[in-house]
Amino acid sequence: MDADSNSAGGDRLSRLGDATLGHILSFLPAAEAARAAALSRRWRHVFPAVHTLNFPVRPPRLVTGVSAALFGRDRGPRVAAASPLRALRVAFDEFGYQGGCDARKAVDGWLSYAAYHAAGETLEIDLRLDAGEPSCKRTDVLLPPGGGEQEQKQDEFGPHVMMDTDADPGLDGGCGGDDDQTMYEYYSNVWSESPGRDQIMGDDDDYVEASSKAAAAAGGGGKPYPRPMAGEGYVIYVTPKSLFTCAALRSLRLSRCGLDLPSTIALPSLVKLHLTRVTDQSGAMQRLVAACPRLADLTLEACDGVTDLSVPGGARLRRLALQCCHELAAVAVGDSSELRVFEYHGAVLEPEFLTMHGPRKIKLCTIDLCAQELSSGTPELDNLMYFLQPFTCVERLHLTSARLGCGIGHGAFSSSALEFPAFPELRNLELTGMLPGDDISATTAVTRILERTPRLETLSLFFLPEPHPDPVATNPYMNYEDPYMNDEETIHAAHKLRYDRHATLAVPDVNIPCMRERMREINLVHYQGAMAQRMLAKFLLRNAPVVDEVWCEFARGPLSIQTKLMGEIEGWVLNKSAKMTIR
Amino acid sequence: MASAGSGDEKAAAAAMITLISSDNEKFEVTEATATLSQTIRHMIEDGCTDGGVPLPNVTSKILARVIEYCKKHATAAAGEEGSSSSFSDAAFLEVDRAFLEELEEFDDAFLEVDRATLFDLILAANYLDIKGLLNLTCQKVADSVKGKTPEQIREMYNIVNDLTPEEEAEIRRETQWAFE
Repeated sequence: MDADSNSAGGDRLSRLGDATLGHILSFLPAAEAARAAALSRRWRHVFPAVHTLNFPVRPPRLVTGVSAALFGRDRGPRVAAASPLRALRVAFDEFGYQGGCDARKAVDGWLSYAAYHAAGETLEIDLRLDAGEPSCKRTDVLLPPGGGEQEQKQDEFGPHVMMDTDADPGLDGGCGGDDDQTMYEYYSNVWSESPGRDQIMGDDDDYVEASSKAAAAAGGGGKPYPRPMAGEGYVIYVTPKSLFTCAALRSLRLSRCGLDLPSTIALPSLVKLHLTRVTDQSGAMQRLVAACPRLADLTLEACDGVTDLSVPGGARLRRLALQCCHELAAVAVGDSSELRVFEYHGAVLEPEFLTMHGPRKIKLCTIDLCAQELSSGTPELDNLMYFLQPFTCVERLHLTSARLGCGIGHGAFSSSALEFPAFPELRNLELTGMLPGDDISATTAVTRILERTPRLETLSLFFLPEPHPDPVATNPYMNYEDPYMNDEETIHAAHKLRYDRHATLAVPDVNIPCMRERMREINLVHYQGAMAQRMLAKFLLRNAPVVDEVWCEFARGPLSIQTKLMGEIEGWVLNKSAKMTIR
Repeated sequence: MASAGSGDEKAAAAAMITLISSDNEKFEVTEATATLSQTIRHMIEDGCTDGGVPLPNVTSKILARVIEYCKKHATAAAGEEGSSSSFSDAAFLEVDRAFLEELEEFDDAFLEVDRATLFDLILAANYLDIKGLLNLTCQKVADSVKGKTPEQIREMYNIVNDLTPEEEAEIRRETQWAFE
């Protein structure tokens, strides 16, 4: 920082003890930590004191690197004072091509090493074999007006994508390139056909065969992958049984691994469990969850085959996240007294979906509705209202849907007996979704919600960009959101800002208690300035006299439009001394 | 300087602990603040805190900073009353994001110190066994060397390279995987 204090103190860093230096290096990627050995003699044998080994995505020769790093912990004169291993975090972009028999044996070896070299209840294992894959690919499509006919389900188009490259995946064990994206799609299909560990392990030929076919399919370019035939076994890595009897294991994260559970599971220290794309077979998931008496934080992400799950009463869950587990139809929490955070990402649910035993004290609830839009009068919207009932105690609610406000503003909703449930404790509300220019029902939707949230202080609206209309209308495959295809740079080359100075923005003056008395902060993100958004913004700002903080972030567009929109917003804010952040 | 004991702790006046720095300055803190230090927690459990806890390795200047950190973070730890586990995952704190942000701002400002003070804080956190403070300060050092070449790191921290070319070659051989 200042040169004097540094030079006066000399090399104070090197004078720290091995344990402290190991602790510092534990915050770095493992390769950087190992390279510190070349600093000076003092540093040469510090590596065994590094207790956390981080292998982020995309280093070359990852398998060799991890094995060498673990070996490096057991070398040199100060091995006896080595720190127990606290964390091993390995993220493969894509394990499939590397996943020959040797690589799988190597991973087995790491896990055994970690279990053996851990101490106390501190071990964290984070093994992601498909970290390059996006967690969920949702279809953000607004139904055409009056239409429920365009029934689209995530699963129908899910596994297929359009090829955008003449990818040649190859079998050279490289860490994958731009073709990763599409190859994941391929594997996500084959995986469900994968049999048990023994069968998988024994058969490397099948793996090569499957990959060759994938390569052939990829070579075709411009065609979706065919759904592979049953029997084309993709070699999925299956974790060794010993992992599930590791007493030191405190946090376990697995992605795209097979579960092979021992007859007796013993995970007395496990507090945090995060499984991604771990397909359930014969109730393994339930057995695993039931065997973790201290489980506090559970995340299941895109786990097929899990149809129902019961967290036993012994474990006091604090956070439960269910993301894109589309077959999951029933979840029971045995003791909900400490459950504070609930996250859900999926289709609209049957009201009976979640059973909680014990007091309901959830504070933060995130609901992200996949794919299809809710339209008024449909059972989905009714179900959503029921589904929200258990969470009316929350202080923060994040609600994401294709259409901002879930279509609650549509007429049929008001005429039905249902209404948005009351959230007496809600302080902070985030609504995310698309809001097309002509959708003037959003103001009604927000009104209906705010009337039921008497203590709301902060309202944030995230306007999602609408997908490009043409391919959606003509090609059912294209509306599947793919980061490459839906990239704003390529498709939305045109700017998204709108400003029609002739538009009349007639907004009602309303008397909503929380807006009149409590609303302190309004945030608008990716504001595009189309009619509906301007009306909504004006409606909110003109009816919220005590707001003292306004944040508005524009979509990309010309400065001239931004300036106009900015002036307009500043004019709407009633409290002229409010802190404004507009950019 | 020794104002650490004043203020809003009257409510918890029942359990005050006196900490004595190496230069004999006395600091009165609540038990909740003091027990962020595992070292002090064990001393309290062993009942040997009467007459104050001497901390011969920590100067009053550093101790004041350490106490400042502990006070702030003790309120965070106390936030979840009656919870069975002392789970420090930020995901749970996220429930109160405003407080989490406040805490992060505090931490950032807290780390605005010269390097000598940073090392003193690391040593104190280590000696007192204050996990959060040790993580915070060590992370700061780690961030400062991240992505740097050995030569840059040596320059930054006045590390003298006393390795012979043969030794350097050997290290490279041993840790070849890390240099790829």
